[in-house]
Amino acid sequence: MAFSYQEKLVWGQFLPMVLLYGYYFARVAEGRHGVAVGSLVGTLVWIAVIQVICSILVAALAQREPRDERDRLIDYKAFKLAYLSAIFVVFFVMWLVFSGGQAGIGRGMVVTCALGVLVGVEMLRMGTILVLHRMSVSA
Amino acid sequence: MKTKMKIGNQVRRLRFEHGEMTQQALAEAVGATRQTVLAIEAGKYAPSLELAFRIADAFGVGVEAVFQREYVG
Repeated sequence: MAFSYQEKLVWGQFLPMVLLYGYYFARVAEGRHGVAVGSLVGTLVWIAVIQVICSILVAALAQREPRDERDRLIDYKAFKLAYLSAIFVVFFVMWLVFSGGQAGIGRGMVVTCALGVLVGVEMLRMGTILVLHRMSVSA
Repeated sequence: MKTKMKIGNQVRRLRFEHGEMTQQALAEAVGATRQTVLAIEAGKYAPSLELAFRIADAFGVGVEAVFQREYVG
């Protein structure tokens, strides 16, 4: 299965996020470090560094192709899906809080959940881009 | 009931009639990616009017010789 230049770039952004955020959230779930700012910042820095390295490698090794109208359509559809999902999740959380579900939820958990939503939405956007590159897409 | 319309195309045939032009060559000629040409040929993507005209121009034919409407159902 041959990947286009744009797909390779997105895979280079997507995989480090899945692996490193997966590791981070697994450790949080195990209760090893709660939401220590240091480990979160460390995770973010590592993700950024690996993503930059992946982008440089793709740019150096793969044949460059400019983005065209199909790439832009796929980006638009993925962004729309991710944004609508974010709205749904935010309203769901607001409903949980206002309906009294916040009892026992500490600040750390709120921060972790907020980060989880951001990461989830970004992964949904990238995942949608990767899927749509392989599927039929129409305006 | 509204009939569903699908856009069929002759891109693959036209490529072979033009000296077995590769998908990459066509993509470069029309300013698209090879992946987009592949998706158009497979009927997985209906291009914009602008790209459709550029593809027709690349083959030196009218747009109706490249793309046809097909009614489904």
